[in-house]
Parts: sequence; C-alpha cells; structure tokens
Amino acid sequence: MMTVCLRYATDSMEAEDMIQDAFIKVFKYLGQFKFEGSFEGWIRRIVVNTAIRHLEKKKLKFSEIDESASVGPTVAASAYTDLGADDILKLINQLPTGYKLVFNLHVIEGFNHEEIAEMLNIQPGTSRSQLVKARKMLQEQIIQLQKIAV
Amino acid sequence: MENNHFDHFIREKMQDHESSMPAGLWDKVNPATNAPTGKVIKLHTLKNWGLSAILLMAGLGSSFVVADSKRYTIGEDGNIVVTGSNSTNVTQAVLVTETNTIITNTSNKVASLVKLPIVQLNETSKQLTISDKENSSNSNSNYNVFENETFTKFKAANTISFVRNNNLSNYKFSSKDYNKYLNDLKLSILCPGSNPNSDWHIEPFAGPIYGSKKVTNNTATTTYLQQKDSSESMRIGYAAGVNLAKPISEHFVLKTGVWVSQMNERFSYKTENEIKTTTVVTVRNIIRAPGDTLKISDTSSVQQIGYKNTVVGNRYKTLDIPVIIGYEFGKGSLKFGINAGVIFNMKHGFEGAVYDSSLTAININKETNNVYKTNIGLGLYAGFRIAKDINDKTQLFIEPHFRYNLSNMTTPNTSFNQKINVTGVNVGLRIKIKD
Repeated sequence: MMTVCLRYATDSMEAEDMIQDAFIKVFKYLGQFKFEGSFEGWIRRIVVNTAIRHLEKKKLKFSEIDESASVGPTVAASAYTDLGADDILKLINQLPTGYKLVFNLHVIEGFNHEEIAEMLNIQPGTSRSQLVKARKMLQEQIIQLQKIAV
Repeated sequence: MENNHFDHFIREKMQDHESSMPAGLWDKVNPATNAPTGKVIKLHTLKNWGLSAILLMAGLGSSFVVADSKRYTIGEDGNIVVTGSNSTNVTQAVLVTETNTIITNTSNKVASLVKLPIVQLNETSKQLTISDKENSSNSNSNYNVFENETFTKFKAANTISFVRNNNLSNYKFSSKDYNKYLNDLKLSILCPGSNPNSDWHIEPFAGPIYGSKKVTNNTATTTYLQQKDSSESMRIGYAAGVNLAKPISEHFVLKTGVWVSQMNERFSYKTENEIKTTTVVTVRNIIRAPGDTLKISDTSSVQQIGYKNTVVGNRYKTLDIPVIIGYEFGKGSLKFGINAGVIFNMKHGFEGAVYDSSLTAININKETNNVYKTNIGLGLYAGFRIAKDINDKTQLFIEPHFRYNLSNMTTPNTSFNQKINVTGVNVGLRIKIKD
C-alpha cells in the first residue's frame, strides 16, 4: 500500500500522510467491508481514493492536448524489460501530477477512462489525452535512460 | 499493440511491488492509542510472560489470527483488524498461530495439518494460557486442500474452523514482526467498540411527561366522583434521571438508574358561604366658621356572602429505580432502540388538595397525607429510542415512552381508586464511561 501512495505522491512525506489517512479510514469503515471481495482490494481502493483526495486539494489542472499530435514514440520491448520496479516508480514519480494520476489509475489500477473521469471530475477525453502524454513521456524517459546506459 | 505491451509490463512490475511502511505509522493510526493505560500495561505484561517465545516457535511465515471468524481478520501487512466493530460479541479472544505449511502438491488432497500451538487470552480475566500443541488433523481430516492453498485457522469459543486464505487474500509475515503483532493484539482488544460488552454508558436525561388518570369508585358517592372529576385536570410535568447502561450482547442493552418525576395536576374548587367583610370609613369636614372645622369619621362594615374559586397545583412526585432491557439497531451514526422493562417505585409523595367525604377541599402534605400511598409499587415501561452519534463516546437520544402503573396510588381506605399512567419524551445523552 505504501507503494501505491508513493506512486501518487510527489514525495515520501506526502505518501506517508496519504497512507496514514488511508489506514485511519480503513479502521473507521472496517464495519462496511462485506467479505464480498478481496480485503486487500478493498483497502487498496481506500488508499487510492485517499491519494486522489490528497491530490485534489492541490487543485489539479488537466490541460487538454491534441490527441492526434500526441502519438508517442514506439519503444521496443527490449528497451524496458530490464527496468526494475524501483526504476519504474522513479520514472512515474517524475511525471507531472495530472499525467501520473491518470497513468496510475488506468495502467496500474485498471480503471477505464469513464471511471477515471468520474473519479477526477474530468472529461473522459481529458483522461485519454493525459494517458497518451504520460505514456509518451515515460517512454521518452526510458529511451533517455537507455542512452545513458549505453 | 506496443502501448498495450508497455502498459502490461508496467502493471506487472508495479502490481506486487512493496515499499516499507514509514516508522511510527501504526502508532499514528492505531485506535488503541487513547485506550486506558492500565490495559496496555497488562498487555505488555503478556509480553514478559514469554508470548514472544511462543510466537517465535511458530516459525517464519506464521499466520496469526484473533478469534471469531466473523469479527476478526488479518489486514494488510499482518495487522489484525476488527470487522463489525459495533456488533462484536466475543468473550474470549483466542490467538492461533499456525505454520504456513498447509500446502499439498496435488489437487484435492486431504489436508495434512500441522500441530498448532494455541495461545488463549481470556479478555475478561486478562489471563493468558498456553495450551499444548494441538493436532488438528483429526478434527479436520476430510478438508480438501488445493495446490498452493493456504488456510487461516479461526477459533471461537469451542469451535475451530479453517478459512481459505483466498477469501481474505494471502497475508504472510515473518516472526521478526511479532512485536508488532503484540501491538495488533492490543489493537484487537482495545479497538474502540470492538467488544461492546465491556462498555459502560451513563445516560442523563430529562423531558416532559403527561399523566392520564384513571379513577374508579371504591366507597365514594357518585356526586363525589363527579365533583372530583370536574375539579381536577392533569398538566404537563417533568421527568429526569440517570441510567447506567451495559451492553449484554450485539443488540441488547441492560439499563438501570435513578429516575425522578413530577406529575402536575390543577385542582380548582369552589367554597360557598364565603363571607367577605369590607370596612368603610367616611370622613367629613364641617367648617362652621373661619378657623373652626369639625372633622367627622363614620365607620361602617359591608359583609358580602358568596362563593370563592380557589386553584391549587397538585404534585405527584416519584422516585423510581428502573430495570430496562433495550434492543438497539441501526447503521451509521443513527441508531434506534426499543426499550422495555419494570420500574420499581421507591417513594411516592403528594402535595396539594383533595376533597374529603363532605366535598370540602383539604390541603395535604407529606405529613398529613393518608390518601395516597408512599410507594406505588411496580410499573411497566416501554419506549422507542432514536439516537444520533455526536462523537465516539457520546450519543444524543430522544425517547418517547409510556409507563403503565400496575397498582393504584391511593390507599385502601380512600373512597376512590386512582391510577396515573404516564406518557412522555426523554431527551438525553449516552456517554461511554468505560471501554
């Protein structure tokens, strides 16, 4: 769960605040867990929601971009298969907050754009465009890393 | 396609990635932090008793569960958490340690369960007992276990049950964290509301009441009863008191306390042949010559014979001890309750006026009262409560109620029988005084 928070937070201090708030909510609403699904999934959802609420306080701005102009560079699988989870976490953390949020929710948490739009109070198109740009930026960073490694 | 592969790669890498929790996090979120220190000390004592050694015996990868599978489960990172925190009815917490080796290599094989050391903590007596290792394979010999499936053992009362971990997700933790488990144990016991049976509440309340009077004839004449009926009318009174409430199960609460009440009655009567005497003094001055004045005062009296209306406020006062059982239910901060029970009257007093047999109003006080009993015996109580949580320890409640008195409030020698049943609304607070 700490990893989840670290993926959303801008720094470890903020992640700690998130995880603390999240677990306080877990204890507070424990009685509402119905044993109908995974307990871990239930906690994870609370953690993610708490992280989003934290970020919302910063008054996130999702700038629209032209989707057609934002097709990312294709990166060969061999370029990133050697990356470890910690490396990826660092790369994700370097994304702008809006990109990072949508990327996390879509790629890692598995929410679709309509769900993300509802959660973040944005348009589904905005979610899609943020994802495209986030993915592009990540891939560019991976290419940069590869160049450095070579 | 490349994007899908990229997304899949990121998801795979990050899904199971774990980061260490910040130091001191559990202290910040642990709801037991504000618990009475006495209990905490007690649990630290448990540590001294060597619980840590027992837990270490369980070996690496041990599972650790608190009793009652419906109430407790293991949370993320081995934290023991309490579910249904307001409805727990556990009188004995049982810790079960279990090696994480209930794994078979082939599907549908019968489980071969290892011997399990059991640590029992009696929450009432705070006594820790450690039983011998228990061979559970006998009682669970036909339990089907699938490949790589792990189980968590639950023990509640005398029943041992095994629950597939995939219902709860798999939680693994090492023995090096046993100190944290001790804290979790503390949490599971002291978590607010985790065991409402140990709670005590105090309920101060007050509210208006209104009595409905029932009068039957004993030896009185019809005229007397008619005169009494036309002279008396009930007025709003009040009730106040304090209850001590103790939850006895998930929904039931037992209450007792001290109640006082005052029912008010307006008694108006007419006294005839009332004589009102008025003295009239008439002063005249006769001036006979300058400087010669004669002052004459004539005194006379006027007597008026008629009737007089008098209004007296009668007061019926009671001191009672109730024994009430309540059934409480509801979700969230809004709760409802149905209360019923018996009220034992400790003292009953009357102050005011009544007619005597000659229809003359006579004043009665505590010393001269021979009309009303000083103890009106048993009453039955029923009420419906609506309560709203104000904070963790306090509830505001409103309770419309009805009290039915079983016996008459008049003495056997009185010419009439009188009983007053009471309807009212109590408004009060329920304050948790002991966790």
